Amino acid sequence: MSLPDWCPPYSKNRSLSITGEEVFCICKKPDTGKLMVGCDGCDDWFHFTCMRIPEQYKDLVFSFYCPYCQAGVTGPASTSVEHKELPRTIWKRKCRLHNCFKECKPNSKYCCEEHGEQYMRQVLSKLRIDGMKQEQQENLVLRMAKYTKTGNVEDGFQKIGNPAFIEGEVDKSQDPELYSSLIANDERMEELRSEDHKLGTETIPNCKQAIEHLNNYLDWLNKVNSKLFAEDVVQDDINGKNRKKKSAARKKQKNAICGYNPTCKPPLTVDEFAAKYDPEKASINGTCTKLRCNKHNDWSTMLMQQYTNKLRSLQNHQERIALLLSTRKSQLHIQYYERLLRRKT
Amino acid sequence: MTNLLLQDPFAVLKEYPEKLTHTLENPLHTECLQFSPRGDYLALGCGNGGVVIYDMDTNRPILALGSKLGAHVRSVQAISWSTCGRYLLTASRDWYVKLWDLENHSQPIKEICVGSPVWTCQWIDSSRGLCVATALEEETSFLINFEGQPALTPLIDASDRDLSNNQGYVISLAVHHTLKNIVITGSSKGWVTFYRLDSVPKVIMSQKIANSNIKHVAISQTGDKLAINSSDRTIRQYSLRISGDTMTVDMKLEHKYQDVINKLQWNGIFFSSKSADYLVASTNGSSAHELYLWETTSGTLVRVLEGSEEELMDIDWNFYNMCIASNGLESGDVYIWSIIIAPKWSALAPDFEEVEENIDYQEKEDEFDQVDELEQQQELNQVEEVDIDLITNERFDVRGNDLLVPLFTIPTNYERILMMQLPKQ
Amino acid sequence: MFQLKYQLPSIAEGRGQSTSAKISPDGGLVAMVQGTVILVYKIDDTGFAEFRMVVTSHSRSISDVCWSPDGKCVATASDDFTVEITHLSYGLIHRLVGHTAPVVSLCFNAKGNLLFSSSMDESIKIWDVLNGSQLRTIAAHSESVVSIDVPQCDGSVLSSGSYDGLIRIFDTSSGHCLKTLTYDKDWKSETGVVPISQVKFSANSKYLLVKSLDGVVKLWDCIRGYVVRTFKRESDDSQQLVHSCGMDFLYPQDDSPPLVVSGYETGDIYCWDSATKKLLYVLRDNERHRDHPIMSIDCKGNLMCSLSLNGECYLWDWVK
Repeated sequence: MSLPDWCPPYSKNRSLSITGEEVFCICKKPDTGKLMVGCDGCDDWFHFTCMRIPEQYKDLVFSFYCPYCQAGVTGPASTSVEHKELPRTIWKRKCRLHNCFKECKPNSKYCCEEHGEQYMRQVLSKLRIDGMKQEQQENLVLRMAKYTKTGNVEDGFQKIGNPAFIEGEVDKSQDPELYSSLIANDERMEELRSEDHKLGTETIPNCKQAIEHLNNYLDWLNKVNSKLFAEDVVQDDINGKNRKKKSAARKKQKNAICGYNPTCKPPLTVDEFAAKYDPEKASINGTCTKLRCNKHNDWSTMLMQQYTNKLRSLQNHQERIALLLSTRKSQLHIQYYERLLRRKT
Repeated sequence: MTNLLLQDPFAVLKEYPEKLTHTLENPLHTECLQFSPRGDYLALGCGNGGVVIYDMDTNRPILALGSKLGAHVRSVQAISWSTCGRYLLTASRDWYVKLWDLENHSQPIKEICVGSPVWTCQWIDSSRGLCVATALEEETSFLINFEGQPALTPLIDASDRDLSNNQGYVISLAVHHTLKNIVITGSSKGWVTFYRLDSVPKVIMSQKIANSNIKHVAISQTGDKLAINSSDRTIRQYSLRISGDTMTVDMKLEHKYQDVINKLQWNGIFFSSKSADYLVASTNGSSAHELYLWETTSGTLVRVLEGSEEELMDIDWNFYNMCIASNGLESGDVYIWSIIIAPKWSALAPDFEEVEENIDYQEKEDEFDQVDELEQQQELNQVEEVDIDLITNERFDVRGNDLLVPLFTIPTNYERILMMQLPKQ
Repeated sequence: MFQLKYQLPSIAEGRGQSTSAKISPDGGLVAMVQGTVILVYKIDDTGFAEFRMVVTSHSRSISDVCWSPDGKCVATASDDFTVEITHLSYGLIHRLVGHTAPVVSLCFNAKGNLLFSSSMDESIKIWDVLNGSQLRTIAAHSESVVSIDVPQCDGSVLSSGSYDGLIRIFDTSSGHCLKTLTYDKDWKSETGVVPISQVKFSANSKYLLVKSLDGVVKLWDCIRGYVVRTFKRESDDSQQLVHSCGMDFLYPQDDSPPLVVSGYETGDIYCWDSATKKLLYVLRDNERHRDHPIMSIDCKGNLMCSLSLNGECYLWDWVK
């Protein structure tokens, strides 16, 4: 941050050269009793007016940094190498009441209870619903508060502003007929619910099953491959014992059938398959037995990815439906309350 | 398009785009691209198997196919829009060709497994669900029929193949624009073969024209020009005549396009509309970043489209909005060249006139004539008696594009908007 | 003539101004503004029923409502400077903030991916419906832009009418002004510039129907740039109206020439043959709309929806 245009460049002078009187602030004037604030970065003092801060904010300063510290000319950012971040003035939260400049009490938006009440009263008085008298409006607010089914009006009133109120269940008894026509029999809700149900009970379990199915087949294939090519290892064994490990590793990499089968069902048992294996043939019962198969290269990881992607996107879709359900529900609830309120006026 | 009628006709009627105007960033890395028939959407096939559709009004992505199910899991190699603009065909290295309905694109409506990575796929007749595809290490291309249960048949059976000469694998293809039953394929050993699809597809001509891969076969809209891009660094342009009854093919070499200095291969080729007055190609190699544009009658290079700063791959040219799109090899972003129509200041005030240079004032013959008010009124009345038609639309736009080509609007996905507004957890 | 079909009730008297009522693209719903609320009625041949009450979060009254082409959303323009897009089943979709004065006119393109708004801040803004972001601002008027229209067959152009007396046509993709319609006689009229109150493209986008605040309706050939028809009441020319009264084309389903339907401050609705300029019918009823300005006229097929400032809303059938 650079210096604001109303602030003169930094000057080291801290006293008047003639009198030696101590001077402060950006205006470099002695203390005349005008309201000042101390900078937490450079220990100099600054006039509220020079800083262009209204004096009523005096109780709201939490930690103040002068323009020079904020620009990094002085203060923590100028001296420390690690402290690269420029400091900022931090304010305490002001009471919500327009002309009160006191800080809020902990966990409150007001400086005191009276101001809280005063604020709400102001809000109510500003509420303007076309064609409604002040009194009627206040009644309306009272009624709304009642819909929250909370013991006293104040708690109920607080609850209205809470998203949980509109997302939760509505009070059917207020107008059962409206409830059943508007909310209970909403077509879109039904559609969403049945889609959600189908996903949870059918589509997603099916997909998980397909993954299991493929895993079983890959297991089988692994067994076939180790059965078919384990013999090579045995042969190596005869040739030289100490080369066994290396050679086995190499063989395993090199010798494996492609194993692609469109159905992903083991066509035969491992032993039967191994017995039928013939390096000259390209496939046995629909299972590709080529050793280095360019065409089906990568088929198993690809298929697995297909299934896992499918599962993931189905789960995303399920989340999406949950969101739509809740949006639709809140929308219906809003409609319900709007109608309740309007009907009785 | 009413806006074209109100703009400078000289700018509107330019025959090819001139300037890079937009870059569409695509973090999923574009592998192939195609405009919708009317040019209002652009579909991008991506490296991870995604297919993303951009709205050309806003230049922003509006949807990805298969948000619920069935997105591809390997790089998408080809995209083909149906003539009605509603259906999309995608072919991928994950062995699948999928058919999508843009009315409801959360999952494919149909799909078929070709059994090995698919190189390319194109509609033959989208109204009948018929398309043709080529796949890795296959000596024939495949007909796919999406009507009813999807069915895959080799374009030509092994038994009917001419085994006397090994033509290699089929790697590229084109469907004739006017004769919808003619499919042309190119092979890895430089053979170009013409098929006629009747009840049983038949070879009507086969010819070796190069010693290496036929990477692309392109055919002009009117069907009388053929361009063949081969890995021997040459694009060959032929005049083509296929007689309707006898189905004999007559092709004559017209031009060969080569990069004489750098001897580069060509990555993609595309013909301009109608009788194909221009041919555009992208160059292979990290040093070349341009699209070359030749005039096809003379064979001369007329324009180099610059601005991409990387090697370009696939090309599509849309004639309704007169722009060319091409994807960059490294970034995977898409570059779009368009024609630029400068604003007319005279449009802001009806009595302004734009002049190229100062004009000496000369009084016009009738400039200060006293026009009789009655006469003026009569003139006005005459204008008010001319017949008007408030309803009938034009058949063609000023560039000669057919406006009866259906315009399909992809429904706005409000649910996606709600999802996007969800506070991030 | 117009035959009364239904009267659509407003909620309660004095619940805010009624400024606009529009028939949905499929003709099955009517959205009617009342204060900051949109009442949606379902209509068919057997009757009508309240379908939904769309509650907006506008803090001041709505001045214009418009249907998305798919009929699933309504967009509202408000005096609180904002535009909202509300989905009939999911509620608020976007709140579009950017104008610096009351927003007065709205229009979707036929694809439904762009929303156009015009405001008393003299500008027109183009919004991306999917992302809820502003794509472009067109500032080419020197007074409130009170009416905009995009033809349903062609989203490439936008017309605007302003109190500065200019009718402009813009290219929607570049925002450039393509043409300005007004002729010297308008400019130099003794009473000064006549403010424009509404613009509406013909079905094929070649003609533009323009109503000015003196009540005169003119049909422009917007390619060539001259007036091809003028529709006037006997009393026009003399006074400037206070309200922008509604106007629309009606395309009879029996293929007879399109009609020009225009409402006035007295509550009258005039109807001319667009080809012959012949006055076909004047809707003047002692009970309906009497002495209340017609704020909005919207036609779909043979159906015409009229709304007056006091909230009376009627649906009429055009019969020969």
